[in-house]
Amino acid sequence: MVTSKAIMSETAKMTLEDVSFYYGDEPALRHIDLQILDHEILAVFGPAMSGKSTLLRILNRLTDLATEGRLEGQVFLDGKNIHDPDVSVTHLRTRVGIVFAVPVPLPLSIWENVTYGPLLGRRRGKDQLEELVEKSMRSAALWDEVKDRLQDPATALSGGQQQRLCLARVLALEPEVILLDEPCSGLDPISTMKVETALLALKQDHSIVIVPHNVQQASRIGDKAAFLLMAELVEYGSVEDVFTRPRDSRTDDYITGRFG
Amino acid sequence: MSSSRYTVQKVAFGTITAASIGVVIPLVLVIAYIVAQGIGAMSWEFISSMPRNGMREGGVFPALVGTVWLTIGTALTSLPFGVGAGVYLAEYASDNWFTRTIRLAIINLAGVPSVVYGLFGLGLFVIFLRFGMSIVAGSLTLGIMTLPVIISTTEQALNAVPQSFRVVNASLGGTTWQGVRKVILPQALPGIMTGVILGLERAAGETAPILFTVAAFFLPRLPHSIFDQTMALPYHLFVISTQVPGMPIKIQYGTALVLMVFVLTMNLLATLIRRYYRRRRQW
Repeated sequence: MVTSKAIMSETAKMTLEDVSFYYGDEPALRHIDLQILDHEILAVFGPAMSGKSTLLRILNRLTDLATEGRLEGQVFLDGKNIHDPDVSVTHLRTRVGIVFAVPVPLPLSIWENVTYGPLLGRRRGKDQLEELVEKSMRSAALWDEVKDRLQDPATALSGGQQQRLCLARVLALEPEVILLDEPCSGLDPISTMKVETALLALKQDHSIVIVPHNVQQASRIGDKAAFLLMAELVEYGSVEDVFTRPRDSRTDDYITGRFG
Repeated sequence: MSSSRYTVQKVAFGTITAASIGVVIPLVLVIAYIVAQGIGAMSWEFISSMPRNGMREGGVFPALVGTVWLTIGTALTSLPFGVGAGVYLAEYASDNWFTRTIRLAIINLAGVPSVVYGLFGLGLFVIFLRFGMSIVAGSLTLGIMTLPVIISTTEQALNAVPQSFRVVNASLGGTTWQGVRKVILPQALPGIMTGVILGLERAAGETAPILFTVAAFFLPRLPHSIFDQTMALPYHLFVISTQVPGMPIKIQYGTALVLMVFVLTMNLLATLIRRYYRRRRQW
């Protein structure tokens, strides 16, 4: 992390500079410096309450919804501060999409769920939408399973399908950065594998930040890894370094299962 | 020792059950009595003809029409403002002293006696705004009286929609309004409609607010415009029960029966809507 700011802003898709976040007086993150690169998967891991979800939500300003929340520091997307007054927060959220741990299909049809985001911004022709839906659902490894029942209610899908639907819904925004908050927490191994395969394909043209649901997943799909502990960034580096040669003894303790 | 616990339990349940039955009996009696006394007057002619011979003969047609008009007028005045205020409070308003004051005011408004609304309507709509005794004045008065019910049921129905839908909408780049219009409001609609109908049903049966603002003792014709007075079922019932000597009991209870069926039909409608949508709900 000893890089000059000039180089950081040139190479990084997103950059966090001295970011702290508080819920009331309770710090959820303290003095985080981090960068997210293009075409890479960054795995953010750590025990519960370490600030992982908050970190993700800061990146597309979903933390704005927390009325008691307070942010310090700067967050940049392509070198542009995302809190600048001329940044549209709704547009930011289409560029930086998020998938939550618990899939929440909107109480609409499968088709309406996937087209929900695209239709918020502007009108689109039916052909264009159909193409977008198919592409998004193929990328999320869901198309073949549900292509014949796109008008069914989304809640009729299984848990694993719902999670991939939520991924497809985000992909339909054509985002540049994809945030995933434990996207496989409720999934069986086969669904998990499908999601992971989808993510590895997606990183060709996206930046991805994932909170994996365990250390194994982090090492399986991550390029970079960041270890959060009690609101602090303890370690950041390539997955090989973090998992095989951790610099901090707390990282070592965590990944070898001595705590957390 | 444990057998005494079961004794207490039996006594408690027995008491509660008896209380429940005690509550239902008078309700059933009221309905049964009105039906028994009024059914003899019931005929198509009773519903569709004008009162005759000092209202001692004929039907309740103008009063029924007036009540329908007033119910529609009440809906038109209270619905946009009530639902709008409910959406604002549930979806937009932050929790501060101002919105807390508004909420407190709404709760207190719901407790104001209806006769006070009547007097207020007389002062504001009939006299100050020069609407005169008219359907407009009566609808506005009933509308204001119904507002608190509609606002609070709207707010409750919206609050019952999971917060996660709002987060998902925001996360996909939706504005608060887009989320409300596309997801939250449609999900809350059955609850809102139920509340609206129950509020209107109460308004349809009210006597005091229309007494000062719209209701006519007797009119030989139907109202021609919304600035006309009209007869209305609740006031008509009051009039023929207390103000007209020699009124056949059959006509009195027949009128009560018509009013009761009108209100219960709305109630039934609300129940059906709620049941239909509850079965379709996906969360």
